[in-house]
Amino acid sequence: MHKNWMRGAAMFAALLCAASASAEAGSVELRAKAEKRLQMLRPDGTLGELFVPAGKVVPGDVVAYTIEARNISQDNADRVVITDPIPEQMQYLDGTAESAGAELLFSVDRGFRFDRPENLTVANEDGTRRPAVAGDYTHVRWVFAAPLAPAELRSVRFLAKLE
Amino acid sequence: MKQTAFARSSALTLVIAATLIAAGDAHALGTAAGTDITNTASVTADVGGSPVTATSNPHVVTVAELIDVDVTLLSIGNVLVNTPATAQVLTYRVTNTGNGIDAFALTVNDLIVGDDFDPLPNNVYFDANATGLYEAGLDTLYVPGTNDPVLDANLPASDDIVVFVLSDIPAALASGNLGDSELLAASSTGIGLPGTVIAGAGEAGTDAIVGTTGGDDQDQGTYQVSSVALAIAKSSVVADPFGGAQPIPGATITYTLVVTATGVGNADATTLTDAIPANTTYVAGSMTRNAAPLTDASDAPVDDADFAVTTPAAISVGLGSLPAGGPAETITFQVTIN
Repeated sequence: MHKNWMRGAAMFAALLCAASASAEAGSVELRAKAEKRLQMLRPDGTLGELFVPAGKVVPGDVVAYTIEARNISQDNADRVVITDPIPEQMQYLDGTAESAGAELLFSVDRGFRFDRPENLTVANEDGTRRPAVAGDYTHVRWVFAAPLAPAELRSVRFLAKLE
Repeated sequence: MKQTAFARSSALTLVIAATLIAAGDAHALGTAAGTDITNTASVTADVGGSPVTATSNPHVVTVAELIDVDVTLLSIGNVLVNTPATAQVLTYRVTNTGNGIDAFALTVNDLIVGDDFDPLPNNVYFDANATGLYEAGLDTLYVPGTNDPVLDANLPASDDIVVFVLSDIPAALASGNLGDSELLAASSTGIGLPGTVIAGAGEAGTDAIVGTTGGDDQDQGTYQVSSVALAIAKSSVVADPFGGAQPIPGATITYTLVVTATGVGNADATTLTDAIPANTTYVAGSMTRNAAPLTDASDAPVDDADFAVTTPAAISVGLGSLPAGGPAETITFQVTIN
């Protein structure tokens, strides 16, 4: 009962935001979408990919998360940082984040600290630490050096697999 | 020198080893059907010198029900059977590898092409007490359509079930003959090509989507007719007190018994017994097994052999389990002629 109520509320929120866009007035607007990857064999035997809106997914499906940032102000936006959590039930697919000219950072502690992949470690059960792997990532972050000019749109993307 | 040799099929004890159960199993780990996965991205920037933040629309992805099932034979190797035999057990595990709750219909197919004989249908039981071993009278009889197992992929305790398929073995088969039997489990929600969508059939009103197994799976086991024949070859060598080989009073006879197992399977708990011939006396401490000395006392675990304890006036040597085609066991002992 509680779960159903929660789902209803979440979907309502999603509809509301889709209809009215999402940003706080005046500066940078952010849109996100999720698409499911379909793979098919082409007649020549190569694997083709197609992305369709991810309404329903099943374990094993790969979902592409695309985030678009647009500067809707009259000024340059400096130090643009986009952060997206990797949903708990999903596993980031290594190497799939498109940097779009940004420096790519990850978190393995639910967004508390971000760093380059080679600097991230996670604790083993015995207290020692090992290098983090893609499955450990909890958040992706894009840090842009170049300012986002007025009306400019920049989009970033990554793939994750439903466990 | 006098030498006699004979071979015979032995009626020594034959026990078929109990079926072993494989350890470990693959639980489903998929995200539960009906789960909503919400994701909201955020951005920070400096615009006109002031920090700004914004969040994206939270987009929701709903997890549909995945229909998948795995059937795995747990019996290790071929199940050795006699001919005829009743209620011979093949053990399987049926696991819901999807992400919802599903009932599975079970069917047994004994008519596999390419084997030597078809096992005859007996009954199918569920492991009622988690022993992994079939126990007549304790385990639950499967009645198709009435108590199809309902497995919840999201609960490790109830996502799988151990199934015992019992078959009868026809008479008059040859040793080594193989008979295959297959267990098939099919989702009651639906089967079809992977990716088939069954609208609204999933958990909490979600669609159900047929997974890579097509919603059904099967595995098969094999019965192997096992009959072990034990052969004993006995020979003797006489040594008289004068350096000759005459069987005269006072001469020593060394008996050599060579035991071999042929056929298929194991001869378990094999014991060799040989009576001391009339008018002879056993030479104390003269028993050997594969050239190693054996004691006359019944003193396991020093050795499983004795003289005149297990059987009066006879040697008795426990040989344990003899695999067919394994190395021969050589037993010697001596007597003197009275």
